Amino acid sequence: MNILSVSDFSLTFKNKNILKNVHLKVAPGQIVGLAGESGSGKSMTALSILNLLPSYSKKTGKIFFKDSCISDFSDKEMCRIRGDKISLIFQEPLTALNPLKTIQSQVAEPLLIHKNYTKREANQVAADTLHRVGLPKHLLHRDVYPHEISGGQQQRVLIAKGFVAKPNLIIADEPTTSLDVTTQAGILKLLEDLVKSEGVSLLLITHDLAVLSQCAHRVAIMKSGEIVEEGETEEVFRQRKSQYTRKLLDSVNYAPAKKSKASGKLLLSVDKISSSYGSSESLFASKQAKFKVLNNVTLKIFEREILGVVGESGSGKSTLVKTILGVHKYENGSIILNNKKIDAGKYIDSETRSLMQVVFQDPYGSFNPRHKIRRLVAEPFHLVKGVFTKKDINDRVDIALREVGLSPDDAKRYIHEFSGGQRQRIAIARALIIKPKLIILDEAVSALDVSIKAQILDLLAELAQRHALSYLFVSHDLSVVQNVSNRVIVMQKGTVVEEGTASEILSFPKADYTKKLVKAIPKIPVSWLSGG
Amino acid sequence: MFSYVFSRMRVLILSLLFASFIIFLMIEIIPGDPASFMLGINAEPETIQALKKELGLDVSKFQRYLDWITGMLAGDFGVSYTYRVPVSELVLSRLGVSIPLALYAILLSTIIALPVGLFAAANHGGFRDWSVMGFTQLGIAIPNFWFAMVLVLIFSIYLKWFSAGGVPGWEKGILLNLKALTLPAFALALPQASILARVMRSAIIDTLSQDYFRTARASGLTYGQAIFRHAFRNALIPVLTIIGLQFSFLIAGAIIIENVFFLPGLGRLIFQGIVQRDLIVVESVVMLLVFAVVLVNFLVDMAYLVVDPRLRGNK
Amino acid sequence: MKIPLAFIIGCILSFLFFVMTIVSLFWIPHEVEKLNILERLKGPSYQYFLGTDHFGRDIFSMLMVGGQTSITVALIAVSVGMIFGIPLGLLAAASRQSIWDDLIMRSNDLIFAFPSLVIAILITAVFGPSAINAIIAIGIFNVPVFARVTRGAALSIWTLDFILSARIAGKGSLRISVEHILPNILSLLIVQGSIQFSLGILAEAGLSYVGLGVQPPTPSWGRMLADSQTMISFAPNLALFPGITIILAVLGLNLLGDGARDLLDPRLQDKIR
Repeated sequence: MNILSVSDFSLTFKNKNILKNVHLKVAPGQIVGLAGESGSGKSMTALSILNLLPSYSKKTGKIFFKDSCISDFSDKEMCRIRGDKISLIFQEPLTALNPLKTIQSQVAEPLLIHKNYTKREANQVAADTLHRVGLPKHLLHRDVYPHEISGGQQQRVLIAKGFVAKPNLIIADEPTTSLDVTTQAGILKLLEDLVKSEGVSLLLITHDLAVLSQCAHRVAIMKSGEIVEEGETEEVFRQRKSQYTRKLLDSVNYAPAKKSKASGKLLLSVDKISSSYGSSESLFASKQAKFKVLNNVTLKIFEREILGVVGESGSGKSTLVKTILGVHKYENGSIILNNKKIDAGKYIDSETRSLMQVVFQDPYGSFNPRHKIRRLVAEPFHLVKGVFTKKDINDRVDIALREVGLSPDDAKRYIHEFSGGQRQRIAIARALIIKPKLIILDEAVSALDVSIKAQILDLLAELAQRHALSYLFVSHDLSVVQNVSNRVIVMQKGTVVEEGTASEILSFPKADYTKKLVKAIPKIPVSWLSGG
Repeated sequence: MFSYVFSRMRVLILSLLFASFIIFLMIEIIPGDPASFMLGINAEPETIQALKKELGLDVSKFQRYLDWITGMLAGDFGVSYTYRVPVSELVLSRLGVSIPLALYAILLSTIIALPVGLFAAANHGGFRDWSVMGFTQLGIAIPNFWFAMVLVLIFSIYLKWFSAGGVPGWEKGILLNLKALTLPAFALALPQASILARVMRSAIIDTLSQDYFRTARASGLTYGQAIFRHAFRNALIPVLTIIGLQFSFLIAGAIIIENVFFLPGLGRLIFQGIVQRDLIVVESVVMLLVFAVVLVNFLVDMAYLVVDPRLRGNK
Repeated sequence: MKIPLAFIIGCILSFLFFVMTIVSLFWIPHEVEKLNILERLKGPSYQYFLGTDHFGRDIFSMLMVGGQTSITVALIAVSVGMIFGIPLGLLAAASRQSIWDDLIMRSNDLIFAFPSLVIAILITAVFGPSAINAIIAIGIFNVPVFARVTRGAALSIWTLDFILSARIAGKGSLRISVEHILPNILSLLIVQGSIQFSLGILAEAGLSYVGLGVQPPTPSWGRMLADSQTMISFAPNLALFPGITIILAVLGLNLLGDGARDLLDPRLQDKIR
């Protein structure tokens, strides 16, 4: 008998279809993957199973847990299921834990609610469970709070909380998305291990097909609230019955066709720079210790070259970006762009500044919501004030918009009228407008869904070719970086640990950290992708 | 954790130093010196000089500032120009009214506000929430001294349950005094309670949309349990902030309310001081009021430590 | 979009309050500075809409004229708070973590320790009571309010990437503050302004009540209440009507401000996030 079966389930919010005729089954001891892009209804499926939907939602169809129809349960009845029979683990481990309660008391909570444990017994079991999920000994104390442990450990605590009452089913909603890739590997291993040794079932919700290819027995692919394909993992990956699955799998590991060839002329040279945070000049607050973010970082970019920078959170890559852009100070070393020194503390002439532009990760925060697109895209002209007439500027905006695949009419609109992918196009238009030589792409495609990501990568490759641009492509995602870059550097804790061509780094990593990083990247087996 | 306490202490001390400096400076601008004012126009210069000496006004301004500060630290606030008694004596007897009144009002407003805010948040979006919020809007708009007058009209003049003003004095027993302070405290507490209830409500509603609240619900807590275990304490942080900020309004309100009820507190003392140009009294009482506000804010900062483990730092 | 009832009530009350005050500049039912002992302490009637006071002055006319005092004091006090507070808040946010930020915010905390009444007491002790006294006292207290709100909102905008791209486009802190920060926090500041305005009316009434504000014979709501206090047992309407007027004016402005915030906030967030 299935632990969970969802049959013909539909959900509407205020006449808007969220889920349509969803069918889903989870057998005991099975890992079932639910994949889809953002907004496809994955998370809503999870909330529907636990009946944690907003009051204005309307649902039809049935959801069974074993043989009881839980979609008909009252909230009070559901409270006995939640956390005891079925538990749910959310994406953001820090915000999903109450900051004011100890991790032990939070893990013990389901026991106090569902089982007749005394506080003492519950705390004991909680400590055991925390140990089971791999929390180090020194964190098993009674008075450890969420802010005192790392993101990966927080996710382990959440798993412990979901697992402590020995439920039959754990639903994990993007449990590793906000974690570094090396941390992700450990969390996935833990979840797999719980399934294998404790016999729980797992419904793993993720946007990352590679993760599913490694651990799920079955997968369901979701698009706009519907399940378009469902079956055994290998079968789904190999056969690709639906068009959407095909599109998704083609976008994974997408490598743009044209790679520009680097010239021998040096454009940017970063020489042994160090930089730190926390040098506050506060009068009243106690002085914080300086925290070194960059330590002797050296890199070079030649004209027409794409240099990839890979690093996990805390590697100092975003500080590096700010330092190169001349908005963050550095202590020693030098940054030379086209024979001119860049230093945030000193005056940088506009001509040098106008040689580089940037595209950020967040398509929502990158634009002033009060200005129209024309003004947003034209902002860099501030650097070359007086050189262009208003008409020149307007023409250039129109051209730039066309180049990134938008229409000049869009210049009259506001930013909130555009989707995430379109916003990144506008950001690229803004970066192109004063014809820089170097564009820094700071996680520029990381927030995008795979299919959109592929389109933007194509656009970037084409523009690099056409305008002889150099890119500094900064990302946490080694697989994307290696697909677009000529050369790659790997950063860890503020230092460069390895440098080489993309294929060298991926195939023959030398530094221990790079080895670990390469190993941790989830990969879809090559034979599955070739469709054999 | 210690660095937090020390930095708050530093703020406390610097605030007091700065405040004392400003107050002293203000009082120093006043034209004419108190000695000649007190003795009238026809006084002999020698008599004025003698009185100046007696009041300690014959030294340099900087010296007087230092004397004033060090005196206050030792509990010596100087001698009242008009009453010719130590200001500390005057103040001490008035504190017996003002401190109980302030505490009574804070207590009342908190006791009223927290359950009301919680009740509104638990029913949020519904009719009950809507009507509670309507009442709090009204409570904020009512001037406390007017509310005090209405209370007097109803409970003292028509119903005759309470006397219209004054306190019997603590030697007559605690209950009688508390009864006498009930109407003033209630008048003071109402606007405070209205604001606090609104803050409590929105703080709770904020926590309802937090991820950890969802986690709590997903692990089987009922709505009520989840609010009680995961929203209440988290909501206390903004509530504490507001209690701290409100205290300076409470002090201001108390000065006015004491006048409505003819209570012999610091508020009355300060107005007598202004009328009689007894500047040393005004100076000292203002300093005391500022001290109370700064101290309460320091205590609120310390209360954060109890509520919020993140401030205690890593072990 | 559905406009909440509270907001509509707020608009109506505020509108009535302003209209009443503006009308009083040109016309009032009875002179308020002429004493008419024969007509003293009359109840509400056709001739005297809300009755007369102990000098035979028409209460309704006095309330209308008193509105002028309230609006003048509160408006100037809010303007003082905005003119000083907003630039200070912008400067503090622009120079975050520097000595400037610290200096501004700490002095704000200090001023916060002086309730406006205490400031008024100090000023009165020095210069004697007057309406200007009330304006200065309330105005000074408004400065840190606006500085704090401005800084808090500005800081959250400063962290956004579009500020970084403006810096990369070579724009300085001043230009960014005016061009990017201010437009994005303006609606918040206007809402705060309406709330401070209503608080200013309450504070003015309080100061006048204890005799630290507007001096007679200029009518003010707080003074009317103070005068009525000794007669409350036999002429409660003297105390009742000014109180209700204050409540309605303050309530109206608060509902207006809160409603505006609710209407503006979600869209603001939607745009920024």
